[in-house]
Amino acid sequence: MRLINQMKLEFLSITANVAFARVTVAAFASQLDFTLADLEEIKVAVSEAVGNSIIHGYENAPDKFIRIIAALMPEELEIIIEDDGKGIEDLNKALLPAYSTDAERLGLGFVFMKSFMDGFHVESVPGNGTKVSLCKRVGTRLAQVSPEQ
Amino acid sequence: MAVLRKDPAYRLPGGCVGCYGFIAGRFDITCLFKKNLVRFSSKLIIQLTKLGRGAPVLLDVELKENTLLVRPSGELDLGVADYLRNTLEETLDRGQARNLVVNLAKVSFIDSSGLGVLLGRYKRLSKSGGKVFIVSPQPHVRKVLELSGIFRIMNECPSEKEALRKIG
Repeated sequence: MRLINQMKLEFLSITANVAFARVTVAAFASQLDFTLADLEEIKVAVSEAVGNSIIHGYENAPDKFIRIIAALMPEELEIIIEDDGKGIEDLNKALLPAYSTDAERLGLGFVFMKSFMDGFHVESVPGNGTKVSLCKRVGTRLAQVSPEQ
Repeated sequence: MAVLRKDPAYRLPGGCVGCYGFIAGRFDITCLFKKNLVRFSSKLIIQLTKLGRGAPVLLDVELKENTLLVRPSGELDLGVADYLRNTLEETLDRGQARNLVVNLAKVSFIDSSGLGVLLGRYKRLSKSGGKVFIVSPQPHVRKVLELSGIFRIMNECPSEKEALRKIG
């Protein structure tokens, strides 16, 4: 598919950057004809992915880096959010709704990403970081929710 | 009754480091911090800019009998979750609040970190038979709440008045 625009972003793993990341990606996404509701959903998905990198990937270490690559095609936005953190030991378990290693957290980060986006994929190697790929298509008001949810 | 600890990490708008005292009953103080007028009373309004941690968040806390009314505004994400959690915990620790009403009318964004704070307070209050009500979330915020399933355990109300009436 034809590439319209692309951006790369790299920032420190501090919580202030969660808002920075989602607002930046939403501003970039607004070059396509997304609705405001779509942009809000993109913001939630990015917020969850970046939050996961900070809390789980880097275990709140503030001096690590998170990278975002976003690409605009005529009808869709693709986003990759990656870190070099500790990775996910059991990916199948981590993808289960309400699974969390932290009692104060809901374990819904991946559920929100899946539900609010049209495409979702996560790759992780323990000790070697996590890469989350997201896709949002223009004009699909209802995101697909996989049956296992 | 509400108490806030002095915390140099929080700064009042205008650049003054906030200094908070013990506010009780109908005791009113009006303080002028540079150009910002901050009125303290039994209804405590706190405007704090979190330095280096996240977007500014405004928190309005009021105790009505045994119910704590909380009116946050801004974005409830990982950047403000600790602050929100600690403030609510301290207020609940020191007050007589048995129930919690969270007015989300002025919250423009929420993610699972913000939801986690609400769920944690629900767990605390429900142990002693307390109730938690969510009031007036904006449509996109409501969508996140709905997807999380939080309405299965917390009640949604169109107004604070209605929530207080249900609490009785």
